[in-house]
Amino acid sequence: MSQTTGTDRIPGLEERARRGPVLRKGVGVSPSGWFDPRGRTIGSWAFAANRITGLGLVFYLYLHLGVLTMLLAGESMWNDFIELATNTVFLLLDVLLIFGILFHGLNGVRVALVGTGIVPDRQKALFWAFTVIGTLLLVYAAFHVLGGE
Amino acid sequence: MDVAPTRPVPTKRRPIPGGKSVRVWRWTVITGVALLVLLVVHMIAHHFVVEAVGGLRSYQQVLEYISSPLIFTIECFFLVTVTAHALMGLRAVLFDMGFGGRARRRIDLGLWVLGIATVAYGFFLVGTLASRA
Repeated sequence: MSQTTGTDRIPGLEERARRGPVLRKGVGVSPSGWFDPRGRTIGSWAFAANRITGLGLVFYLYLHLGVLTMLLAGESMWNDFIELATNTVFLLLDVLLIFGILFHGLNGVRVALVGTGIVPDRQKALFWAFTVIGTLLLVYAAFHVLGGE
Repeated sequence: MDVAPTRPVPTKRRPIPGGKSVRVWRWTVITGVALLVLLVVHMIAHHFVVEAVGGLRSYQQVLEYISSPLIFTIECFFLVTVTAHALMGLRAVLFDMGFGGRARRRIDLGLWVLGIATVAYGFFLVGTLASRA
């Protein structure tokens, strides 16, 4: 029995196959164009931001391991580093790190809830709910880190 | 004859159907959920609770902290989970760049080597520090 593939009924299939920047909303992303901000829906922005924060956190993971290596060098080197790491610039970088963790973590929860089918049709509501939760947590953490308590 | 694509059928060997990338995505979700718990414990222990008694900052405080068997175990789990999650995410980004099958296999191999080296170094680091306490 002959069956049709149904590919002619899928909207935007040709646009998805085309390489280059995204030209229209809702037609998908080219293989290397996920970070291209043009013509994006809010979900695509969240996807790109999730990847950028993820790459930043991978960088931080190895930076963190490198910094902890100083502990092997002994007490004086570690304590010198701690003095440097508690100045305002480093603390502001800590706040940036917390932003990355919160965004990546909360958006990851949203993607997992939608992708696993637990909450498949509430993407935008979850996005805005997690944005509010993340903002509140970030403000609290920033006050804590910068000594505003 | 054109045949419509069908869903993969679950088998005894592979109860959840899907390709390798689908399985990697599922593991990314599983490690991500585990990280939520481990990261909260890690952050609270390091930056909030311990600060009440002066903060986990001086060399001696770090050694005392990591020499606790419970903390040592949590940190080891955290290291394995965060490394796996990070490298599976990196794999997804690299695979989206349109590499061919051969390059993808090399990326997989490279990430396995990097992951094992990272975990091995992390274990060496926490093990050495715990033994100094």
